[in-house]
Amino acid sequence: MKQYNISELMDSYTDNEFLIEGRSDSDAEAVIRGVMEKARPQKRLRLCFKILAAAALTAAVSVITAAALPAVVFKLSDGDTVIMEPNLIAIRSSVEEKSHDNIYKKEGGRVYFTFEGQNMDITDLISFDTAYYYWSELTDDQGTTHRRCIAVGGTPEHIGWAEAVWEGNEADGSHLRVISFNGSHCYYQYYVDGEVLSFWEWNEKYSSEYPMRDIKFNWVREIREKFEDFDKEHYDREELIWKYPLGWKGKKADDDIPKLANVFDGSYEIR
Amino acid sequence: MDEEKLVRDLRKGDTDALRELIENCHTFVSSIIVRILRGRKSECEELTQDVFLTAWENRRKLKAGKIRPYLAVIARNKAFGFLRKYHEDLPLDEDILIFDDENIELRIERKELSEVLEEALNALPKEHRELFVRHYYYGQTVSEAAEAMGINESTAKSRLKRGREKLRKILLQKGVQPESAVNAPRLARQRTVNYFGRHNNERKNQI
Repeated sequence: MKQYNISELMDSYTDNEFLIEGRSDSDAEAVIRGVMEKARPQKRLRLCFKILAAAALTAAVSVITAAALPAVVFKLSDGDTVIMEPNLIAIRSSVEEKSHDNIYKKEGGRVYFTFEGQNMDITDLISFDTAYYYWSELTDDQGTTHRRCIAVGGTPEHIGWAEAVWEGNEADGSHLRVISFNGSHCYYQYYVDGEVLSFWEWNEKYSSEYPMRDIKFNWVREIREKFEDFDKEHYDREELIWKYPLGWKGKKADDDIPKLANVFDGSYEIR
Repeated sequence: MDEEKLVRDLRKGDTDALRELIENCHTFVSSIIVRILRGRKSECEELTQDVFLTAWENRRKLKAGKIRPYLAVIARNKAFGFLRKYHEDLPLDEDILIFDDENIELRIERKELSEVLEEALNALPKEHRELFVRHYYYGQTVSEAAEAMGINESTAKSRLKRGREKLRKILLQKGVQPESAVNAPRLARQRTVNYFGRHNNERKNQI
């Protein structure tokens, strides 16, 4: 005996006969406002992924001391690797479950996006090669607003997230600063209107117009607390960012970087 | 609206196109949602936003001429997901379409399935069709649908049964083949996967 779920079959049907449009009295402008606040052109994020990849693969870029916080940070949560390609973010995990209630939570096999008071079931929106993107803003100590994107991807069993923060506000959003890390030094690259620049090149051209600013990352504090007892040597807010930009989980950061680099040249093999 | 241009602009990431999409389709989407949520308007607005955000984030999957069906699938998933989340989803009575023959396999493209469903439903009298749609598309219980249509529950159940029979018959005529022509038996869940060509969860966001 074969069985098929009629309700699921009905996904292939569209009711144009009995639906009375407008019955909801929904406010079109309110819907538009709500959507527009969150919807951003995806190209910015994709651009970021491209540049992150480029940064990870570039061996010789300007070396900056830990004097300023990074404007763009990607990291792992409960997984080993975040793979970012122009059109792909895939997160895999091979370690034990950890709580990330400030970003997402898992309940009953479902994944809920909980960042900034959200409580949205994103289970059906994410998969191994699909992430849910949440756009918001971050205000730094100087009161400057930065655009931010949180991406959660994977499956309920293998999930992770990444955060990107763009230097500057909407007007200068095309200035993207990307950090990569080799275990002892930070590498910056800047991306401005399609051009990849080293820090020095960027600084020479734009620094007066787009001064660097410190950005306060809430999640950094959380990570610091986690590692405070574990690794006194690296207990420092700024240092922590440099040493664990990818969400260190008991491995030396030095070990993580080659893996990330390999991801981007396509040779990385998921374990 | 010129759907081809709209889809082209959406794929480029044009937020003006998104605005146009919302202006054109928000009543369609919110009407589906509010019907499934049984009139809860405050949640409806939020879910309507979610539908358009999902469509925006998956805009490369949009196809001209298929925008509304695509939005409808997302809207249904969001609304049923919302009810599930608060444990208010209503089990659909006799939601299973049963084929007595074990040796058959549903092999049909989604587009064809859409046509088969249309044909099956159009073969029903209008009132029967409405009941079927209320129950299986909008998730109303039999008693809710019966009450809304001013008929008693037993009448509604017999009409639904007739609708299922019609659908089953047409599917047998057009959509299923002897399994020997397909493959060895698999689990029912896997059949759903096969028939849509991908996993259920992924299917929900596809056109």
